[in-house]
Amino acid sequence: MQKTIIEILSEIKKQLKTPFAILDKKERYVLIGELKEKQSRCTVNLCGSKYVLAADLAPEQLSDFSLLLKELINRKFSEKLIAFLEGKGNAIEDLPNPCGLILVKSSDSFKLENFLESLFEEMLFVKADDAFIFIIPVGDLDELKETSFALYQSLSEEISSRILICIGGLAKEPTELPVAYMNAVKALQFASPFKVGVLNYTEMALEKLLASLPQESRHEFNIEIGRRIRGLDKEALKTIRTVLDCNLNLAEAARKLYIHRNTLMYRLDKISSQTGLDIRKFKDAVKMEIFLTLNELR
Amino acid sequence: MASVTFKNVNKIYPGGVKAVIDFNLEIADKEFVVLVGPSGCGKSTTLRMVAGLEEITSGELYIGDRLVNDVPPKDRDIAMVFQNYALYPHMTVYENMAFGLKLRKVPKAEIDRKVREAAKILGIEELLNRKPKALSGGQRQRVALGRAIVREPKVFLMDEPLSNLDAKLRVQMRTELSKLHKRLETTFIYVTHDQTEAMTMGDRIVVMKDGVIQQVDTPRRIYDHPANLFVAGFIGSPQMNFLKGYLSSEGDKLYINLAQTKLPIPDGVKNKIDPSYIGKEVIMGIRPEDIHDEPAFVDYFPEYCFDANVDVVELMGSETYLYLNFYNNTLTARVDPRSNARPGDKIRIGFDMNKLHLFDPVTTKRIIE
Ligand SMILES: Nc1ncnc2c1ncn2[C@@H]1O[C@H](COP(=O)(O)OP(=O)(O)OP(=O)(O)O)[C@@H](O)[C@H]1O
Ligand SMILES: [Mg+2]
Repeated sequence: MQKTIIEILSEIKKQLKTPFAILDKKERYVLIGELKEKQSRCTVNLCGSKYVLAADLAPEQLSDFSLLLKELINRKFSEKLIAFLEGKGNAIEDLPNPCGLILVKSSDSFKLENFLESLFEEMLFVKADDAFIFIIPVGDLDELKETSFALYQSLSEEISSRILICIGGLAKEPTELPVAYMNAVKALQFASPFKVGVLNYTEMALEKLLASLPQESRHEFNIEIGRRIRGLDKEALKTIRTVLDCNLNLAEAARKLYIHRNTLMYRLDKISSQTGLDIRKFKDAVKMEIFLTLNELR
Repeated sequence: MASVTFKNVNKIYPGGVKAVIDFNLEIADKEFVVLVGPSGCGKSTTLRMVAGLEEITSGELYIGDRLVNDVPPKDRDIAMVFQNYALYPHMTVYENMAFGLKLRKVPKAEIDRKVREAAKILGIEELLNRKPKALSGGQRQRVALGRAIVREPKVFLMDEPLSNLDAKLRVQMRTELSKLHKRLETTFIYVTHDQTEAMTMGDRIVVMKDGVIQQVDTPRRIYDHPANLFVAGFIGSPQMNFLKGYLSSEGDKLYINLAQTKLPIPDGVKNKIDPSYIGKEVIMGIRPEDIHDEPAFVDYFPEYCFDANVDVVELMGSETYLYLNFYNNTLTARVDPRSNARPGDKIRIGFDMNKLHLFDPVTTKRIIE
C-alpha cells in the first residue's frame, strides 16, 4: 500500500508549490522534499495509516496544508483502489494480507475517520457510490464476521441510525479482493432497502440461487405458491416466518409468538386449509421459505 | 443520571407499520423499568427511539429536561447493551472496553481508571488482557456490559441482553444486573419478553401490546391487579384461568354464576366491584395457585368449592399442575405436590374467592376496585 501512496504523493508533489516531506512512524523518510532547516511537523493519517508530514510552513499553516494533502491523496487513492476492485485498474500490491472486505451502507452520511482510527491500527476505507468499502486485516472469516457485527453495533450506537454491513469475504492475497468486492456488492443488491444488520455473501446460497433464476420462473413460482400464501393475513404470515426461523420447532415458535401451543396448532391448521401448504411437512416448509426469501429479495 | 419522559410518542415505520402508538411514560431518575410484551409489540422500537437509532414520528421524548427528538445517538448520554454482543476480535478485553472513551478523546489515565473500576464491579479484572476468543459466553456478556459502564451514561438501555445465555447463567446474570443497578444508581430501561425477568428485576413494569401500553405498575401490582384481560393472561405462568359468568345479587350478597355453579363473593371483594355490573356478563379470572384441592381449604370454605374432573396431572417437583375439566373449560391448578389427585378422578376443588379477578367482556378492562 505504501508503494501506491508514494506513487500518488510524487504525483501530487509535482502539482503543489509548497515543498514537503513524508516520514513513516519510525521517522524514516518515505518521500524526500527540499526542505529548509526550519520546518514544522505534524502527524497525518493517509489512507488509514499514520505518517509524519514535514514542511516549510508555520504550524498554523501546516494543519491546513495537511488537511489539503490528506484530502488529495485520499481522493486519488480511492480512485485507484476502486478501479482495482472493479477489475479496471492496476493491482495495489502491498495491501494487508490476509484481509477481509466489507461494504458499509448507512442511511445518514457521517464522518468515519476518527471513529476508525480509534478502532484499527491499520485499515483502509474508501467511499464508493452509496456505501463505504472497508478493507480490514483479519486472520480468518470468523474474525471478519465478528468484527462486522461489532462494527455494526458501534456504528449504530455512535454514529448513525440505519446500518447495513455486507461481508464480501476474505482475501488471502490482494488479487482476491476484486472478487470479495463483487460479492459484497451483490449481497448489497439482494438486500431490501430497509434491511439493517450484517449480511454475509458467503452464506447466502439460497438468495444467490434464487436471484440467478430467470424472471419468468420466479414469476411462475410466485404465482403458484404466492396465490395461495398472499391471501393470508399479517398474523398468519408472521406465524409462518416465526415457525421457519425456529427451525419448525413448534414449542419454541409458540413461546416466541406468545401463544399457547394449541393456538399455534390451530393457526397452522387454518393456514394449511387456506393454502394447501402445511408448514409441518418438510417440503411445504421449503416452499414457504423459498417464497418468503424470494419476496424479501430486492 | 436522568429521567426519561415520553409524551404522546408515535412511531410509524416507512411502509406504514404503526409500531408504537401514543406512548406516555415518565421514568424516574435511577429507576429500573422493564418493557415487556409479546413479539412485535414495539419494545425494541421504543428502546431504539430512546437511543436515537429510530426517528420519532410524532410526540416528544425527553432525557432529563432536554428534548432529544433531534439529538443524534452519540450526544444522548445513553449506553445500549444488545442481545448479540459482538466484541472486536483483534482487541483485548481492555481495549474493547476502552474504545468508546478513546473515541471521545478521554485522557488515557482517566480511561484506565474507568476501565479498571468497571472490570472490578463486574469481576473481570483478570480478563483484561485476553482476547474475546478466549472468553466464555457469560464473560463476554460482562465485557459488553463493561463497555457500557465505562461511559457512565445517564441511561442504560438493554434489549434482551440475556437471551443468548443458557438458563443457569441467565438466572445468575439477572441478579448481577439488579445489583449493578443498585450500585451504579443509574436509570435502566430493560426490554424482555421473559416475564420472570420482568417480575424479578423491574421497579416498574410496562406491559405493551400492539404498540400500546396496557399497564404501568410495580411487579406486585401488575400481578395482583392486572388492568385488563391481556395483562392478566400475559403475566403469570401457568396462565390465569378465565371463565365466563354473570353477577347476581340476593339481598346484600353478591354471587358469580359459572355454568351450573354459583359461588358467593366475599364482602371485601364485593365492595370494590362497580354495582352497575350486577346482572351482567363478566369474565372471571383466577390464578392457578388460587385453586385449591387440599382438605383444609375444602373443609374451611365449603361455599367456594365444587366438583371437577382431573384430565392431566403434571408433576413439576416442587409443585404439581392439575388440568381440570369444569363444564368443558380447562382449568389449571397449581397445587401441593402431596396432592393425591389422579387423572380420571372427580375431585372437590375450590377457588380462593378473595383472589378473584373480574373483567368486562367487551372492554376487557378490570372491574374490581
Ligand atoms: N425497520 C422496520 N421497518 C418496518 N417495520 C418494522 C421495523 N422494525 C420493526 N418493525 C415492525 O414494528 C413492530 C414492532 O417491532 P419491534 O421490533 O419493536 O417489536 P419487539 O416488541 O421488540 O418484538 P421482539 O420481542 O420480537 O423483539 C413489528 O410489527 C415489526 O415488524
Ligand atoms: Mg425486540
